[in-house]
Amino acid sequence: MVYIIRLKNISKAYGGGKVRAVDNLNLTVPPGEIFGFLGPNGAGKTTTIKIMTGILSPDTGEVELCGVDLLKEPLRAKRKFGYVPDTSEIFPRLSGLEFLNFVADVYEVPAKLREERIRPLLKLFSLEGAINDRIGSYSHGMKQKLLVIASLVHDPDIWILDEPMTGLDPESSFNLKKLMQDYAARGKTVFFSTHILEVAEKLCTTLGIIKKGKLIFTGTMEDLKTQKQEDKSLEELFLELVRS
Amino acid sequence: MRKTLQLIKVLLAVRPFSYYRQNPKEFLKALGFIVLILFSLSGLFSMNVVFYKNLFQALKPVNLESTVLALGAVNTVLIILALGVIAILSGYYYDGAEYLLALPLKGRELLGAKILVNYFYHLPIAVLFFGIPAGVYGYFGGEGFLYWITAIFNLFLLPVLPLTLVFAFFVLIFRSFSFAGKKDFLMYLGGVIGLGAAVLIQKFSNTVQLAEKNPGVLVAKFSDPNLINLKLYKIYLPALLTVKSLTGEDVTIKAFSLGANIIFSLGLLALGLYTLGWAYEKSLKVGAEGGGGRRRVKGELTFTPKPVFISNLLREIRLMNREPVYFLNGPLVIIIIPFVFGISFYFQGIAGLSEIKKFLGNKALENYFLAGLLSLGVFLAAATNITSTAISREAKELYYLKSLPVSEKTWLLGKLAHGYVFGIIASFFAVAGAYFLGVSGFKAWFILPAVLLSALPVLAAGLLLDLKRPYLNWDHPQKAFKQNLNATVGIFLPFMQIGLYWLFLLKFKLSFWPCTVGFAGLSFLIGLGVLFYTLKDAQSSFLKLEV
Ligand SMILES: Nc1ncnc2c1ncn2[C@@H]1O[C@H](COP(=O)(O)OP(=O)(O)OP(=O)(O)O)[C@@H](O)[C@H]1O
Ligand SMILES: [Mg+2]
Repeated sequence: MVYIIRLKNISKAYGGGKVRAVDNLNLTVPPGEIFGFLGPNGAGKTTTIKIMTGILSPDTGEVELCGVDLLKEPLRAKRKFGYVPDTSEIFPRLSGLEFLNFVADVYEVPAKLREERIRPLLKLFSLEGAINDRIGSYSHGMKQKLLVIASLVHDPDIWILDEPMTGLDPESSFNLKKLMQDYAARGKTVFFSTHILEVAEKLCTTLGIIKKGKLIFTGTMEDLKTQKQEDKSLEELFLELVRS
Repeated sequence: MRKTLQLIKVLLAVRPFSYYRQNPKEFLKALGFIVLILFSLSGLFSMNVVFYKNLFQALKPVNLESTVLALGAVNTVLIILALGVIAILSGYYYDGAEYLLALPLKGRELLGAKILVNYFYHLPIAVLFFGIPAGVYGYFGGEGFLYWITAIFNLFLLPVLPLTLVFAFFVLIFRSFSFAGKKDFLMYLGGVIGLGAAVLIQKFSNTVQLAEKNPGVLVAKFSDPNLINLKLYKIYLPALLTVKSLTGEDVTIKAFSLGANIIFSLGLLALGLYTLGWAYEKSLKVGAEGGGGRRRVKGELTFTPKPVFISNLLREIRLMNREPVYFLNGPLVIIIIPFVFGISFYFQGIAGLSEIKKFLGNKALENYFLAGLLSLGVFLAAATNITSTAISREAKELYYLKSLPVSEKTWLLGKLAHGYVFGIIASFFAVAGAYFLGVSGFKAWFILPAVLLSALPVLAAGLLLDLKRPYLNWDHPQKAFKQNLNATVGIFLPFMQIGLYWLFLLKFKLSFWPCTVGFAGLSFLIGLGVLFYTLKDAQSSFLKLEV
């Protein structure tokens, strides 16, 4: 079996070992999946994502992205994914376009490809009018959408998003979901965390549920129903799992 | 009133004493800052003492010694007016005003807290410019207990009215005109006014020197009733009352003057708060609409690829120059300091120059100029603090940068290059300075590479420092600079370096060229060493950075 994302025995503690944010986590995602990462506040989703993206180094464990070891070859591995962080408060003094061009420069995307990729996305998210304004003047949702566009300038194989729907209007949220589906349909992999269970239920091909740093479930929605032997909504099953 | 006091505590970031007991390091830091401020004011302090002492002794024989007090009061008011404008331009709005506006606070409470905070900031000015003349007058005039008490009362009263006036003026302006989104502009304006103030202080220091040489000129100048400062004294009631309360013929006049002064100053403050509180609140609301400042950066949808290094350097420069707090502390410094030096030389240098020339001989003088300019260039390159705050300024953005496929070395070298952009500007200023002082040709241009080479250890050490001990958890970009100890250390390092250079030059009497070339070369080698050390474990240092 080919895996696009592979986390092996990942652990991470904060504050000199006091808070075990991620506890011996193992996880694999094959290509073409939309992987939904669920869990209560403080469960360790963001920490896991930061480890996957090379922002934090794990205390123990390995990360492999498209077969490249993130810890051994960070630059090569980082080229494989695009990342939307959970905070959108960055680079307030750059204009939207300056930011996009900076990211594209980093990934060495040629001018023509930049244009082909960025223009339609700006239109889709109605950001064309504001693209030469400072990011600091954007609304929360606008910043979020800009980061989504930036994460796609190099057409990565893996798309990692940390709570991307927060603050998006219904239209943008719909468009983002559509983008994710198209993306996976092209054989690429989407990995995102969310608290919106309706979205996860409809969109995701695989779910992972994390609680107190430990992965307590991975599989499809069907798997979850079989495991629980109940035909309930994701919301009910999720709450049962997390409360137990 | 209670709410106002709470606001002030928040604004001044007052911490209870127990906080410092638990964090002795913070205590040392605070103490260090206070010492630093006192140190930088000490020059002005002694200058003032000399000036007023001379003035007092010159005017005593003609029974005009109370002019010392009049002049002190008027100068204090003028300087507080000028500095108040700067302070208000850069701090009229509240950080997080939107949040405060949602709280049940009255406009006059918000305004009162702002004025009081500024009052504390300006109190040292009153000590410097009124406390000294009052002290001189009391000491040399042999005044008694009552005089000193009255003087202290007056000292505390003096800043009240000018600050109230400045605030009243700006509240009215800001309420009528929307400065939303122009906060940056206001800060730059403050910087320019600051430049003007620097020039005025320079002029004052010239008067002091004049006074030292020739007391007769002093008597003539300050017994002239047409002197503008003394005219102001007669118009500005609080100054008149201040002087009368200290020098009045009898106790009744003194007491009456003091009482009148208190009622007048505090009365106008209260009046200002009650009449303008709502206007202040309204102007804050107008200001809050601006948010991040919606500004159009001109240009169409253009996609021009650039090499990563250049693109990142551009990003660094933009983020720095577009954040007014950083701009004022960094790039602007590099322009203001040579400017002030230039002016100071222009006013007082040329005359003294020929004497020094006779004394030293032309060639020696030239060498001292070059050494001085080299020192200035190195200091300027470091004074912008670009590298010693480079990591701290990024803070949360670091997370995003770390997810990008760019090596840590590239980030760090970009930051060093950013520092060098200003190093180059500084070295050009130094070369220009040489031409200004009449040194030209090879010798003048020699300073350029000398500054660039000598600046490396300071720039590299700043980078290392901020990489190892960054200040990342700030809520306002200003704090990455102002509460960052690295910025202070980053300025002290070149002082040490330059000090060593002069030690060899003056004390050990090394001849100029070998000493200077050796200094630049050795500095560069040490700088390279620091840089290699910084880059060597860049990757692990970067990974350790957690916001
Ligand atoms: N910088 C930090 N320092 C110390 N502890 C941290 C830090 N960041 C996160 N933690 C702790 O690690 C744990 C996991 O946090 P994490 O942000 O990964 O959760 P999350 O699942 O993303 O939560 P949320 O749904 O609220 O975004 C929490 O207990 C949190 O308190
Ligand atoms: Mg999170």
